[in-house]
Amino acid sequence: MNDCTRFRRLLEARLAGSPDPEGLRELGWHEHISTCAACREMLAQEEALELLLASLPEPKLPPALTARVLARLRARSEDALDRLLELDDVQVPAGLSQRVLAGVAAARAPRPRALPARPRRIPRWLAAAALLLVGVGVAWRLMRSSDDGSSGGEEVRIAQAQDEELIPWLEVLEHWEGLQELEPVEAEILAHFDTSDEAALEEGS
Amino acid sequence: MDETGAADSGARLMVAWQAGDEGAFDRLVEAYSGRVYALLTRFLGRHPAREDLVQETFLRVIRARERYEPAARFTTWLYRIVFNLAVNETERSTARRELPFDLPSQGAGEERAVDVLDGEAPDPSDGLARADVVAAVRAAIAALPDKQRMAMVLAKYDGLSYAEIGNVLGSSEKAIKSLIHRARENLRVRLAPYLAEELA
Repeated sequence: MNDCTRFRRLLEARLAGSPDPEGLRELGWHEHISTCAACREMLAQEEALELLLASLPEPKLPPALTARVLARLRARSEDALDRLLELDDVQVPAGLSQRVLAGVAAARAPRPRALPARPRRIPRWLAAAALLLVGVGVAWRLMRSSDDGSSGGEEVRIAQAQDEELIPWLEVLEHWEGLQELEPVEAEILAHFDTSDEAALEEGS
Repeated sequence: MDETGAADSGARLMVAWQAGDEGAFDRLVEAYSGRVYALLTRFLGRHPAREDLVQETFLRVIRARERYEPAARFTTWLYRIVFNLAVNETERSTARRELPFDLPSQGAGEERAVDVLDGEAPDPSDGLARADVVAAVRAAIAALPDKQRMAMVLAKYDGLSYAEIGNVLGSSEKAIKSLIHRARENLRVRLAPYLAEELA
């Protein structure tokens, strides 16, 4: 560290905070000053600046500043309290009570029963299988009645036994039909159902 | 509470007020409103909002009643409030008016120079000091960027140490040292004619 750096650090330390003019003047006796014009000039500038800054008078305070500030703070505090208390005087929106009562009445009214969920449609393959089974059974019975030379009583027993075999399948079909609106399915059944077979079945039974 | 806080009458009043002594707040305002007003005058010049800002400062003190902790000198805590309010006011004023000073641009990262309302007008309280010198010094201080100006005012007129100024401005002691060094350089440039007179 050279002499200039050392001296300027000393000067900065004296300038820190609120510099004492006497302390700055003392630096004028520093031996470095007698040999360094730049540092001498720097010190002179800082001393002159301190004098200029010291020429500013103390700010003049307005009379009764404290009393006025305290009064205004109290007034603001009162205003804040009043604003809080004014919350009781909030304007009620027009028709609010009627809207609330209507809402309560609506909530109390019995609710209509929810409609049962639409049952699943009968699967097409199940309907087709049932019809095929019925058709096969009817055809087999007709063939037996025409080819077989069995007596009438025996034929009736055989036919009854075959009908009994078909009953569970027909019940399944009826059960599905009873559960749902079967318009599309009925149309499909009718499309596949041969009415002549139906007539033959009735005659045979 | 550290030694600094314990020795500070402002901190003692705050603690008493926190403990329920309502009169302590009045004593706090009596003790510090003048200092706050003086600091605002040196920072803002004779700005018409100074008294409002004193009131706003103590409103902030009221709001901070519960959370105040006497960890540092009361004045550094109070002056931080004043600084923030004063900078906000400066920004509002700047937005409303043109800058009264035609200043050279500051370096990167420096705050822009700010205005002062009537910093150049002589004050009846100026006394024996030459009115033009007083006006020039006021204008030169007013032209400093916010942080430089507050650091200079606190160091020169309130006698705060660099560490305390650091508390007010939220900067390190080293940064404050650098800030004040730059502030003095700026003042020397602005006041060069008057310095020459002093040196003649």
